[in-house]
Amino acid sequence: MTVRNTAKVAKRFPPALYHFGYRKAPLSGNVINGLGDRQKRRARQVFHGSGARELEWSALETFFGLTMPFAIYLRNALNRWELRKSDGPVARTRLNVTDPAKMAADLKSLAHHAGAGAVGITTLTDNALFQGQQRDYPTAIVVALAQDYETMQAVTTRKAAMETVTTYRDVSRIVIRLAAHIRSLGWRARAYGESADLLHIPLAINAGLGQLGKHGSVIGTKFGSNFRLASVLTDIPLALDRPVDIGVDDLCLGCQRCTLDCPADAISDSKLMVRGEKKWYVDFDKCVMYFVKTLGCGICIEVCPWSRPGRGPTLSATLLRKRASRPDSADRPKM
Amino acid sequence: MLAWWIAGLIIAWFTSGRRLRRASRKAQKENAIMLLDDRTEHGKSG
Repeated sequence: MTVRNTAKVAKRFPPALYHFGYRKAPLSGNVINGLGDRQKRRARQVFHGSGARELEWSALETFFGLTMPFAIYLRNALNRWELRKSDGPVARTRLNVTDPAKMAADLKSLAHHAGAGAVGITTLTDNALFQGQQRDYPTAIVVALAQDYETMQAVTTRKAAMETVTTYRDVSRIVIRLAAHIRSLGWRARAYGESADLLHIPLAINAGLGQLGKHGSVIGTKFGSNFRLASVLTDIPLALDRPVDIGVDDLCLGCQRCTLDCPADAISDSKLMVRGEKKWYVDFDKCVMYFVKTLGCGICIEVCPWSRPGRGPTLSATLLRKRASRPDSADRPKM
Repeated sequence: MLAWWIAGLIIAWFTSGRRLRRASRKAQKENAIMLLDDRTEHGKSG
Protein backbone atom coordinates (compact mmCIF):
# COMPACT_ATOMS: atom_id res chain seq x y z
CA MET A 1 0.00 0.00 0.00
CA THR A 2 1.24 3.48 -0.86
CA VAL A 3 1.59 6.06 1.87
CA ARG A 4 0.93 9.45 0.40
CA ASN A 5 3.23 12.31 1.24
CA THR A 6 0.44 14.75 2.00
CA ALA A 7 2.66 17.22 3.85
CA LYS A 8 4.72 17.77 0.73
CA VAL A 9 1.62 18.21 -1.41
CA ALA A 10 0.06 20.67 0.99
CA LYS A 11 3.12 22.87 0.82
CA ARG A 12 3.51 22.91 -2.94
CA PHE A 13 0.00 23.19 -4.29
CA PRO A 14 -3.38 24.46 -3.08
CA PRO A 15 -5.33 21.82 -1.13
CA ALA A 16 -8.19 19.87 -2.68
CA LEU A 17 -10.84 21.72 -0.71
CA TYR A 18 -13.67 23.33 -2.61
CA HIS A 19 -16.00 26.24 -2.07
CA PHE A 20 -18.23 25.11 -4.94
CA GLY A 21 -20.18 21.96 -5.57
CA TYR A 22 -23.49 20.50 -6.65
CA ARG A 23 -26.72 20.22 -4.67
CA LYS A 24 -27.61 17.24 -6.85
CA ALA A 25 -24.44 15.59 -8.09
CA PRO A 26 -24.34 14.93 -11.83
CA LEU A 27 -23.84 11.43 -13.15
CA SER A 28 -20.23 10.49 -12.37
CA GLY A 29 -17.83 11.34 -15.17
CA ASN A 30 -16.24 7.96 -14.57
CA VAL A 31 -19.52 6.24 -15.43
CA ILE A 32 -19.90 8.40 -18.55
CA ASN A 33 -16.30 7.63 -19.50
CA GLY A 34 -17.00 3.91 -19.20
CA LEU A 35 -14.78 3.08 -16.23
CA GLY A 36 -15.24 -0.63 -15.55
CA ASP A 37 -17.03 -1.25 -18.88
CA ARG A 38 -15.66 -4.33 -20.63
CA GLN A 39 -17.36 -3.55 -23.89
CA LYS A 40 -15.65 -1.38 -26.47
CA ARG A 41 -17.61 1.72 -27.34
CA ARG A 42 -17.01 5.30 -28.29
CA ALA A 43 -16.49 7.98 -25.64
CA ARG A 44 -19.19 10.39 -24.57
CA GLN A 45 -18.51 14.05 -23.92
CA VAL A 46 -18.53 14.96 -20.25
CA PHE A 47 -17.05 18.37 -19.69
CA HIS A 48 -15.25 20.41 -22.38
CA GLY A 49 -18.18 20.68 -24.75
CA SER A 50 -18.30 22.56 -28.02
CA GLY A 51 -21.57 24.06 -26.94
CA ALA A 52 -23.53 21.91 -29.38
CA ARG A 53 -25.30 19.99 -26.65
CA GLU A 54 -25.90 20.10 -22.91
CA LEU A 55 -23.37 17.99 -21.06
CA GLU A 56 -23.76 16.34 -17.68
CA TRP A 57 -21.12 18.58 -16.08
CA SER A 58 -22.01 21.80 -17.95
CA ALA A 59 -22.74 23.77 -14.79
CA LEU A 60 -19.19 23.21 -13.58
CA GLU A 61 -17.82 24.13 -16.99
CA THR A 62 -19.80 27.36 -17.00
CA PHE A 63 -18.46 28.15 -13.55
CA PHE A 64 -14.92 27.34 -14.74
CA GLY A 65 -15.19 29.63 -17.74
CA LEU A 66 -16.87 32.57 -16.09
CA THR A 67 -14.67 32.66 -13.00
CA MET A 68 -11.46 32.75 -15.08
CA PRO A 69 -9.44 35.97 -15.04
CA PHE A 70 -10.61 38.10 -17.95
CA ALA A 71 -7.30 37.90 -19.88
CA ILE A 72 -7.46 34.11 -19.96
CA TYR A 73 -11.18 34.07 -20.70
CA LEU A 74 -10.66 36.50 -23.58
CA ARG A 75 -7.78 34.45 -24.96
CA ASN A 76 -10.00 31.36 -24.88
CA ALA A 77 -12.77 33.22 -26.69
CA LEU A 78 -10.29 34.46 -29.31
CA ASN A 79 -9.01 30.90 -29.76
CA ARG A 80 -12.55 29.86 -30.62
CA TRP A 81 -12.70 32.82 -33.01
CA GLU A 82 -9.56 31.60 -34.79
CA LEU A 83 -11.17 28.22 -35.27
CA ARG A 84 -13.71 29.78 -37.64
CA LYS A 85 -11.06 29.10 -40.28
CA SER A 86 -11.01 25.37 -39.45
CA ASP A 87 -12.77 24.47 -42.65
CA GLY A 88 -13.28 26.12 -46.01
CA PRO A 89 -13.72 25.65 -49.73
CA VAL A 90 -11.64 23.01 -51.49
CA ALA A 91 -9.71 23.93 -54.66
CA ARG A 92 -11.43 22.65 -57.80
CA THR A 93 -8.28 21.19 -59.29
CA ARG A 94 -7.08 18.22 -57.31
CA LEU A 95 -3.38 17.47 -57.15
CA ASN A 96 -2.74 13.84 -58.02
CA VAL A 97 -0.78 12.30 -55.13
CA THR A 98 1.42 9.57 -56.54
CA ASP A 99 3.80 9.37 -53.61
CA PRO A 100 1.98 9.46 -50.23
CA ALA A 101 5.32 9.28 -48.39
CA LYS A 102 6.58 12.42 -50.09
CA MET A 103 3.29 14.21 -49.48
CA ALA A 104 3.45 13.23 -45.79
CA ALA A 105 7.03 14.54 -45.59
CA ASP A 106 6.02 17.80 -47.32
CA LEU A 107 3.11 18.38 -44.95
CA LYS A 108 5.24 17.58 -41.91
CA SER A 109 7.84 20.02 -43.17
CA LEU A 110 5.17 22.68 -43.58
CA ALA A 111 3.92 22.03 -40.04
CA HIS A 112 7.44 22.20 -38.61
CA HIS A 113 8.06 25.40 -40.56
CA ALA A 114 4.89 26.83 -38.98
CA GLY A 115 6.26 26.02 -35.53
CA ALA A 116 5.12 22.46 -34.77
CA GLY A 117 7.25 20.56 -32.29
CA ALA A 118 6.25 17.11 -33.50
CA VAL A 119 3.94 15.80 -36.21
CA GLY A 120 2.51 12.33 -36.77
CA ILE A 121 0.03 10.81 -39.22
CA THR A 122 -2.44 8.03 -38.53
CA THR A 123 -5.76 6.54 -39.55
CA LEU A 124 -8.80 8.16 -37.97
CA THR A 125 -10.01 5.46 -35.62
CA ASP A 126 -13.28 5.08 -33.76
CA ASN A 127 -11.66 5.70 -30.38
CA ALA A 128 -10.94 9.29 -31.43
CA LEU A 129 -14.57 10.07 -32.13
CA PHE A 130 -17.42 10.65 -29.72
CA GLN A 131 -20.73 8.84 -29.85
CA GLY A 132 -22.90 10.16 -32.64
CA GLN A 133 -20.04 11.62 -34.67
CA GLN A 134 -19.60 10.70 -38.32
CA ARG A 135 -16.26 9.49 -39.58
CA ASP A 136 -15.99 11.93 -42.47
CA TYR A 137 -12.25 11.61 -43.09
CA PRO A 138 -9.91 8.62 -43.27
CA THR A 139 -6.69 10.20 -41.98
CA ALA A 140 -5.51 12.39 -39.10
CA ILE A 141 -2.41 14.56 -38.93
CA VAL A 142 -1.60 15.22 -35.28
CA VAL A 143 0.52 18.19 -34.25
CA ALA A 144 2.19 18.72 -30.87
CA LEU A 145 3.44 22.06 -29.63
CA ALA A 146 5.53 22.37 -26.47
CA GLN A 147 4.68 24.77 -23.68
CA ASP A 148 7.39 26.84 -22.07
CA TYR A 149 8.71 24.57 -19.33
CA GLU A 150 9.85 27.31 -16.94
CA THR A 151 6.53 29.15 -17.20
CA MET A 152 4.62 25.92 -16.68
CA GLN A 153 6.42 25.26 -13.43
CA ALA A 154 4.01 27.84 -12.02
CA VAL A 155 1.06 25.47 -12.57
CA THR A 156 -2.17 26.38 -10.79
CA THR A 157 -1.41 30.09 -11.31
CA ARG A 158 -2.63 32.58 -13.94
CA LYS A 159 0.79 32.66 -15.55
CA ALA A 160 0.75 28.95 -16.37
CA ALA A 161 -2.91 29.01 -17.42
CA MET A 162 -2.14 31.82 -19.85
CA GLU A 163 0.77 29.83 -21.29
CA THR A 164 -1.57 26.88 -21.85
CA VAL A 165 -4.24 28.88 -23.68
CA THR A 166 -1.57 30.65 -25.73
CA THR A 167 -0.07 27.30 -26.72
CA TYR A 168 -3.54 26.12 -27.75
CA ARG A 169 -3.87 29.24 -29.90
CA ASP A 170 -0.51 28.63 -31.55
CA VAL A 171 -1.07 24.94 -32.20
CA SER A 172 -4.52 25.75 -33.59
CA ARG A 173 -2.95 28.23 -35.99
CA ILE A 174 -0.59 25.53 -37.24
CA VAL A 175 -3.36 23.03 -37.98
CA ILE A 176 -5.54 25.73 -39.55
CA ARG A 177 -2.67 26.60 -41.89
CA LEU A 178 -2.02 22.95 -42.66
CA ALA A 179 -5.69 22.26 -43.43
CA ALA A 180 -5.89 25.35 -45.67
CA HIS A 181 -2.84 24.14 -47.58
CA ILE A 182 -4.35 20.69 -48.10
CA ARG A 183 -7.60 22.22 -49.33
CA SER A 184 -5.61 24.35 -51.78
CA LEU A 185 -4.34 21.06 -53.25
CA GLY A 186 -7.90 19.97 -53.93
CA TRP A 187 -8.37 17.60 -50.97
CA ARG A 188 -10.73 17.92 -48.05
CA ALA A 189 -9.22 18.90 -44.71
CA ARG A 190 -10.54 20.24 -41.44
CA ALA A 191 -8.53 21.57 -38.52
CA TYR A 192 -9.39 20.61 -34.95
CA GLY A 193 -7.82 22.87 -32.36
CA GLU A 194 -8.82 23.17 -28.74
CA SER A 195 -12.29 21.98 -29.50
CA ALA A 196 -14.25 19.24 -27.89
CA ASP A 197 -15.07 17.51 -31.15
CA LEU A 198 -12.14 15.13 -31.36
CA LEU A 199 -10.09 13.01 -28.95
CA HIS A 200 -6.55 13.98 -29.87
CA ILE A 201 -4.84 11.62 -27.40
CA PRO A 202 -5.61 8.25 -29.08
CA LEU A 203 -4.68 9.79 -32.42
CA ALA A 204 -1.38 11.11 -31.07
CA ILE A 205 -0.53 7.66 -29.68
CA ASN A 206 -1.36 5.92 -32.96
CA ALA A 207 0.59 8.57 -34.86
CA GLY A 208 3.71 7.77 -32.87
CA LEU A 209 3.92 11.00 -30.90
CA GLY A 210 4.20 9.13 -27.62
CA GLN A 211 2.49 6.73 -25.23
CA LEU A 212 -0.23 7.13 -22.64
CA GLY A 213 1.18 8.00 -19.23
CA LYS A 214 -0.42 7.13 -15.90
CA HIS A 215 -1.59 10.76 -15.64
CA GLY A 216 -3.82 10.21 -18.68
CA SER A 217 -1.77 12.41 -21.00
CA VAL A 218 0.57 11.49 -23.82
CA ILE A 219 4.26 11.25 -22.99
CA GLY A 220 6.61 11.79 -25.91
CA THR A 221 10.37 11.53 -26.01
CA LYS A 222 11.07 15.14 -26.91
CA PHE A 223 8.71 17.16 -24.70
CA GLY A 224 7.52 14.61 -22.16
CA SER A 225 3.95 15.68 -21.44
CA ASN A 226 4.61 19.37 -21.63
CA PHE A 227 2.79 19.98 -24.91
CA ARG A 228 -0.64 20.56 -26.38
CA LEU A 229 -2.24 18.78 -29.31
CA ALA A 230 -4.28 19.70 -32.34
CA SER A 231 -5.17 17.72 -35.45
CA VAL A 232 -6.16 17.93 -39.08
CA LEU A 233 -8.59 15.40 -40.50
CA THR A 234 -8.20 14.90 -44.22
CA ASP A 235 -8.68 12.59 -47.18
CA ILE A 236 -5.38 13.35 -48.92
CA PRO A 237 -3.35 10.12 -49.38
CA LEU A 238 -0.52 10.07 -46.84
CA ALA A 239 2.01 7.56 -45.53
CA LEU A 240 1.10 6.62 -41.97
CA ASP A 241 3.31 6.63 -38.89
CA ARG A 242 3.37 3.81 -36.37
CA PRO A 243 2.88 3.83 -32.60
CA VAL A 244 6.13 3.98 -30.66
CA ASP A 245 7.38 2.23 -27.56
CA ILE A 246 9.64 4.63 -25.69
CA GLY A 247 9.35 2.85 -22.32
CA VAL A 248 6.60 4.94 -20.75
CA ASP A 249 4.99 1.93 -19.03
CA ASP A 250 8.36 0.86 -17.63
CA LEU A 251 8.61 4.18 -15.81
CA CYS A 252 4.96 4.80 -14.95
CA LEU A 253 4.56 1.38 -13.31
CA GLY A 254 7.20 2.29 -10.75
CA CYS A 255 7.17 6.10 -10.67
CA GLN A 256 4.76 7.80 -8.29
CA ARG A 257 5.61 11.39 -8.93
CA CYS A 258 2.25 12.43 -10.38
CA THR A 259 0.18 10.19 -8.09
CA LEU A 260 1.84 11.70 -5.03
CA ASP A 261 1.80 15.28 -6.26
CA CYS A 262 -1.84 15.24 -7.37
CA PRO A 263 -3.63 17.04 -4.50
CA ALA A 264 -6.95 15.59 -5.63
CA ASP A 265 -5.60 12.02 -5.44
CA ALA A 266 -7.09 11.40 -8.89
CA ILE A 267 -4.31 9.33 -10.47
CA SER A 268 -4.44 5.58 -10.18
CA ASP A 269 -1.32 3.49 -9.60
CA SER A 270 -2.57 0.72 -11.86
CA LYS A 271 -4.26 0.43 -15.21
CA LEU A 272 -8.04 0.18 -15.19
CA MET A 273 -10.66 -1.20 -17.56
CA VAL A 274 -12.19 1.65 -19.57
CA ARG A 275 -14.55 0.99 -22.48
CA GLY A 276 -13.11 -2.45 -23.13
CA GLU A 277 -9.47 -1.48 -22.82
CA LYS A 278 -7.16 -1.75 -19.83
CA LYS A 279 -5.30 1.53 -19.62
CA TRP A 280 -4.12 4.34 -17.39
CA TYR A 281 -7.09 6.32 -16.17
CA VAL A 282 -7.55 9.48 -14.14
CA ASP A 283 -10.57 9.74 -11.83
CA PHE A 284 -12.67 12.34 -13.63
CA ASP A 285 -14.77 13.42 -10.65
CA LYS A 286 -11.74 14.10 -8.47
CA CYS A 287 -9.63 15.64 -11.23
CA VAL A 288 -12.22 18.01 -12.63
CA MET A 289 -13.01 19.71 -9.33
CA TYR A 290 -9.36 20.51 -8.74
CA PHE A 291 -8.93 21.43 -12.42
CA VAL A 292 -11.67 24.03 -12.06
CA LYS A 293 -10.32 25.35 -8.78
CA THR A 294 -6.82 25.88 -10.17
CA LEU A 295 -7.39 27.42 -13.63
CA GLY A 296 -6.84 24.14 -15.45
CA CYS A 297 -4.32 22.56 -13.04
CA GLY A 298 -1.63 20.71 -15.07
CA ILE A 299 0.39 19.56 -12.05
CA CYS A 300 0.73 15.97 -13.28
CA ILE A 301 2.06 17.12 -16.64
CA GLU A 302 4.66 19.40 -15.17
CA VAL A 303 5.96 17.18 -12.38
CA CYS A 304 6.38 14.23 -14.77
CA PRO A 305 10.09 13.38 -15.05
CA TRP A 306 9.73 13.13 -18.82
CA SER A 307 8.70 16.78 -19.09
CA ARG A 308 12.05 18.20 -18.01
CA PRO A 309 13.68 19.53 -21.21
CA GLY A 310 16.35 17.27 -22.63
CA ARG A 311 15.60 14.41 -20.27
CA GLY A 312 13.25 12.33 -22.43
CA PRO A 313 15.71 10.75 -24.89
CA THR A 314 18.12 9.67 -22.13
CA LEU A 315 15.32 8.39 -19.94
CA SER A 316 13.78 6.43 -22.80
CA ALA A 317 17.12 4.91 -23.81
CA THR A 318 17.87 3.88 -20.21
CA LEU A 319 14.42 2.31 -19.69
CA LEU A 320 14.52 0.37 -22.95
CA ARG A 321 18.07 -0.84 -22.22
CA LYS A 322 17.06 -1.98 -18.73
CA ARG A 323 14.04 -3.79 -20.13
CA ALA A 324 16.09 -5.56 -22.77
CA SER A 325 18.60 -6.71 -20.18
CA ARG A 326 15.92 -8.35 -18.01
CA PRO A 327 15.60 -12.11 -18.52
CA ASP A 328 11.80 -11.87 -18.84
CA SER A 329 11.95 -8.98 -21.30
CA ALA A 330 10.17 -10.91 -24.05
CA ASP A 331 7.09 -11.33 -21.86
CA ARG A 332 6.73 -7.69 -21.01
CA PRO A 333 3.61 -6.08 -22.37
CA LYS A 334 4.21 -3.60 -25.12
CA MET A 335 1.96 -0.64 -25.82
CA MET B 1 -22.64 34.30 -36.43
CA LEU B 2 -19.45 33.33 -34.61
CA ALA B 3 -18.69 37.01 -33.98
CA TRP B 4 -22.02 37.34 -32.17
CA TRP B 5 -21.25 34.23 -30.19
CA ILE B 6 -17.85 35.63 -29.12
CA ALA B 7 -19.49 38.95 -28.24
CA GLY B 8 -22.04 37.02 -26.20
CA LEU B 9 -19.25 35.22 -24.36
CA ILE B 10 -17.57 38.49 -23.44
CA ILE B 11 -20.81 40.05 -22.25
CA ALA B 12 -21.47 36.90 -20.19
CA TRP B 13 -18.14 37.36 -18.37
CA PHE B 14 -19.21 40.84 -17.28
CA THR B 15 -22.80 39.96 -16.38
CA SER B 16 -23.47 36.42 -15.15
CA GLY B 17 -19.72 35.92 -14.65
CA ARG B 18 -19.59 38.88 -12.32
CA ARG B 19 -22.40 37.44 -10.22
CA LEU B 20 -20.70 34.05 -10.14
CA ARG B 21 -17.33 35.46 -9.14
CA ARG B 22 -18.91 37.53 -6.42
CA ALA B 23 -20.80 34.53 -5.05
CA SER B 24 -17.68 32.42 -5.32
CA ARG B 25 -15.59 34.92 -3.35
CA LYS B 26 -18.34 35.17 -0.73
CA ALA B 27 -18.50 31.39 -0.34
CA GLN B 28 -14.73 31.23 -0.01
CA LYS B 29 -14.70 33.97 2.59
CA GLU B 30 -17.46 32.39 4.63
CA ASN B 31 -16.04 28.90 4.28
CA ALA B 32 -19.29 27.84 2.65
CA ILE B 33 -20.11 25.90 -0.49
CA MET B 34 -21.56 27.64 -3.51
CA LEU B 35 -24.07 25.36 -5.19
CA LEU B 36 -23.61 25.40 -8.95
CA ASP B 37 -27.10 24.01 -9.60
CA ASP B 38 -28.55 27.25 -8.28
CA ARG B 39 -26.06 29.60 -9.83
CA THR B 40 -25.70 28.71 -13.48
CA GLU B 41 -28.15 28.49 -16.33
CA HIS B 42 -26.95 24.96 -17.06
CA GLY B 43 -27.65 23.96 -13.48
CA LYS B 44 -31.13 25.42 -13.62
CA SER B 45 -32.05 23.68 -16.80
CA GLY B 46 -30.38 20.44 -15.86
